[in-house]
Amino acid sequence: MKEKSILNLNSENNISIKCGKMDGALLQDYLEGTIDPVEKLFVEAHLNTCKDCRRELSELKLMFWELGNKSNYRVEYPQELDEMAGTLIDRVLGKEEKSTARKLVDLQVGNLKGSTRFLDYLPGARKTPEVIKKASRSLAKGVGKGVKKGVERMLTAR
Amino acid sequence: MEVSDLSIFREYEKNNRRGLELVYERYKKYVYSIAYHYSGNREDALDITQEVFMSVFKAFGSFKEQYSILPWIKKITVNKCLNFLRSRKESISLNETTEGGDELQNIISSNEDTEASIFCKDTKKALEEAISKLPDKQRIAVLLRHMKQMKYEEIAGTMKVPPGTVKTLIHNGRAAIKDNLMKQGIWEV
Repeated sequence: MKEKSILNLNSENNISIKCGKMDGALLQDYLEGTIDPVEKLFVEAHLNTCKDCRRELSELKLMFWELGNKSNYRVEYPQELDEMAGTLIDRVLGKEEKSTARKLVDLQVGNLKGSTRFLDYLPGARKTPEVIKKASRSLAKGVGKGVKKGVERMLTAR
Repeated sequence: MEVSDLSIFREYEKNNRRGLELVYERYKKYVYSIAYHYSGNREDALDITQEVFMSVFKAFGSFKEQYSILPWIKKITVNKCLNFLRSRKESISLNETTEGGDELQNIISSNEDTEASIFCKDTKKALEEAISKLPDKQRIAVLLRHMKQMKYEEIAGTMKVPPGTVKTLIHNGRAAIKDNLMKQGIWEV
């Protein structure tokens, strides 16, 4: 009876556990190292005699380990997290006023985009980069062969 | 690049926009990680993060530079988390549909895959689930204590409740998490 009253000192917010003689909160404080020294003595004495509380303590230890394991809180940060900063700042400060130089650059970029838009409608225009690549490769090959031949001729002429 | 709070204030004095960008850059992950584990999903976490930074940005001009920014942001994050789900819960209904088009009531009633999913679940998921089932205040208190390693007094200041209340919230939260993890069969004890 005496043991019960001591181990349930924190009875205001008692966490009941199987044995009924121990406040579950005390076991948590014991594991966390925040327990009062006197209570610690009684908890240890009780643990020596109570199988249920030793089991409860093992389960709590596992849970503390999981709660303290940083990899359990690893989060994938979505792209939107980076993207929304500008919008939020705009909402508070108003839209950013662009400098004249920036406006000019943007105008030129716009012009360039507009002037090449017709390419989208030219048949085969999308293949242009590929064709240019192939052509440049064949050209390089041709030039290489020409140079090789020239060198060979020069050597034989000697 | 990591910048100090002081250099953020200096930058803010020169250029408000740049200053706020630095605040966001420095604290976005901190806020988002709490919001994510508190709300349990990406969309709500982004909404909460957005609300937190709107408040931070609006008040940043009047924030005194002798204080550090983190405790202030923690308080705002906790407030926004607690208020966000409170307002969300009031409007939630079982006839709501998920992204996949399933009604919530159908998901709740169908338990055919429950057993299989228990065995496939990893500890991280199980813990996330156990934390998500806690009442709002217990959940935030447990996250601040274990995910952010804050002391009881600090949590009390952040949540604006007495330290004794924080202790109770965390004790009860842990007890519920342990029971939940046991039920999920995570440990062979």
